Amino acid sequence: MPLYKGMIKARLYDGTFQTCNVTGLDDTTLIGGPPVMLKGKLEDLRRSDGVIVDIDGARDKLAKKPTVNGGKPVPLDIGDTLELNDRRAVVVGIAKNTRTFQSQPIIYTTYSRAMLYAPRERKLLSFVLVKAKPGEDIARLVQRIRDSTGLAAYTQDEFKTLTVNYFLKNTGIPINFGISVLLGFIVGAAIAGQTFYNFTLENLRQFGVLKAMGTSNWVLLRMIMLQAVLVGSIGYGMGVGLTALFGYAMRNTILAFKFPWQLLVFSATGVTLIVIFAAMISIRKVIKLEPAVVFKG
Amino acid sequence: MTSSELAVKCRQLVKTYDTGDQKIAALQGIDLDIHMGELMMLVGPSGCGKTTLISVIAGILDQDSGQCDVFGVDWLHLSSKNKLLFRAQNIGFVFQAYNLLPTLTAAENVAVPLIINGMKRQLAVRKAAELLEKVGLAERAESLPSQLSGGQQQRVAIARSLVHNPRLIVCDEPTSALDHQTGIHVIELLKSVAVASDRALIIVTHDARIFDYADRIARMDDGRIENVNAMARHSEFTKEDDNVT
Ligand SMILES: Nc1ncnc2c1ncn2[C@@H]1O[C@H](COP(=O)(O)OP(=O)(O)OP(=O)(O)O)[C@@H](O)[C@H]1O
Ligand SMILES: [Mg+2]
Repeated sequence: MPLYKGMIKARLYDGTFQTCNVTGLDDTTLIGGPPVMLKGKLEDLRRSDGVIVDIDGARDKLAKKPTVNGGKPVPLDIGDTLELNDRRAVVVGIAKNTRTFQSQPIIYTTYSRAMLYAPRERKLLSFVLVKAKPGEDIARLVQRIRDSTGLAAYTQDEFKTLTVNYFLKNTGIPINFGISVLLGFIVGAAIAGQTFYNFTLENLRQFGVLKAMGTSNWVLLRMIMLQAVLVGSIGYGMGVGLTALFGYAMRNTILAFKFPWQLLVFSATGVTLIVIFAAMISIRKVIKLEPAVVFKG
Repeated sequence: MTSSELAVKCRQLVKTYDTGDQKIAALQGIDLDIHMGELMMLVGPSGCGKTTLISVIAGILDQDSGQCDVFGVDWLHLSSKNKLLFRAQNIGFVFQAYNLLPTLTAAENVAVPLIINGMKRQLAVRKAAELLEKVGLAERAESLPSQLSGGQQQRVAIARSLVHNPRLIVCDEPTSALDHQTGIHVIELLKSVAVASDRALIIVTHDARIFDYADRIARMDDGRIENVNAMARHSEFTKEDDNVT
């Protein structure tokens, strides 16, 4: 099945332009459409000039001017029209899409119509989607397509990897993210460690008093560990809570926000490491502490 | 209990601090005996080694050489575990800066030595409250140290030094952070509740106003004991002068 994917400039009501991510679906099967339809049906695409826009785009970048001055923009709705490359496009449906890092509105239409909208290029076929017959060996199928057509063919997983690699290689996103995470981790460890160590130093005299009165290092060690675990849990709880809150606040924006459980585990491990690190230097200090300090003024 | 029974016996005690670039001879051969039932004061100019000496006697600092027996046990012969145990059971501390734990109430502070010795927390706090009554702070049992005056804090500290019935109590400048009147009150309290026939007290001080409360006074200078004098007013120990220098 043919699939078109490309950027097309849309002309909006007020005459401004907005680049949109246009997907042209196979005319007969409409495979590859949006995961969730909020308004209208996917089949409505077959109506003349029909397009489906994603909800985020409809609400934000493609929205119409406020009816009253200073009011809220009016979201694009079914029946509204756009101009894609000087051709009329009528909104027949609103879809909900998986969020991405790209913030252009997403427009679905049929393959043949996408050909009309798209600016002239020599080849407009971007992808061909292939659905294997049940029981077909996918790897062999891929190989067969490669051999017979001379085109690149990928399985679903291969294509995913390809896409991820594209982002890794050609955009700054992963490096920036990586640096942010690493920086956050280092700064977090430094601050947590420093705070905890300061706390121990401030109370060093009390530890000395307890030592002089016959408290063993083992008991003091347990006290510090308990404190560290307490501080770590509070910090972790606050961090996760704030992040969840942030995600909740962002739910109506077009920003991608994902909070998988792996992240919880990852950050828990991070916090644990920080806490252990912070506690270790404090414990070392307290164990080496001479109880004779208690008589120092 | 006879006066010949020794609580503390120091012989040729030497301690040198090594700060890397210089060595400071803090104790240069101390000979000193402290008897059971005795309140011994240790006086001398600043830096002469008083604090160092009581630190060694209390078992929180190791001497370089010489002997320091407390109730017949040499600190150096104890394993570090037994040392902790011996200290927890036999030594009470009173500090110049009170050194109460700021987040615990007065009663909880007093209970700490009992808890270190393995007593259940509730029972320990109850015993502590009883002792607070003895030092005149019954109504302040639930107060935090920050809510108490200096004199009251030192009374809490005295209760803490006594609660586990230790046989030796060491005090470093217990009155020098207090005004005259409060200082006198505190030393009177120490004298009345802490001195017992099965217990010895050693108090480091430069506060001449409280010398009268001592049984004997040991004068130190430059890491040595200059002399030990019995106070005339307290005649229990007016046998021959115990000066061993
Ligand atoms: N931890 C240490 N490291 C190095 N030198 C020390 C240390 N503690 C004490 N000293 C030095 O040892 C000497 C005796 O000190 P110590 O504290 O025993 O004197 P002190 O008689 O208690 O003085 P003060 O009346 O001022 O309290 C001093 O010269 C002091 O500077
Ligand atoms: Mg001193």
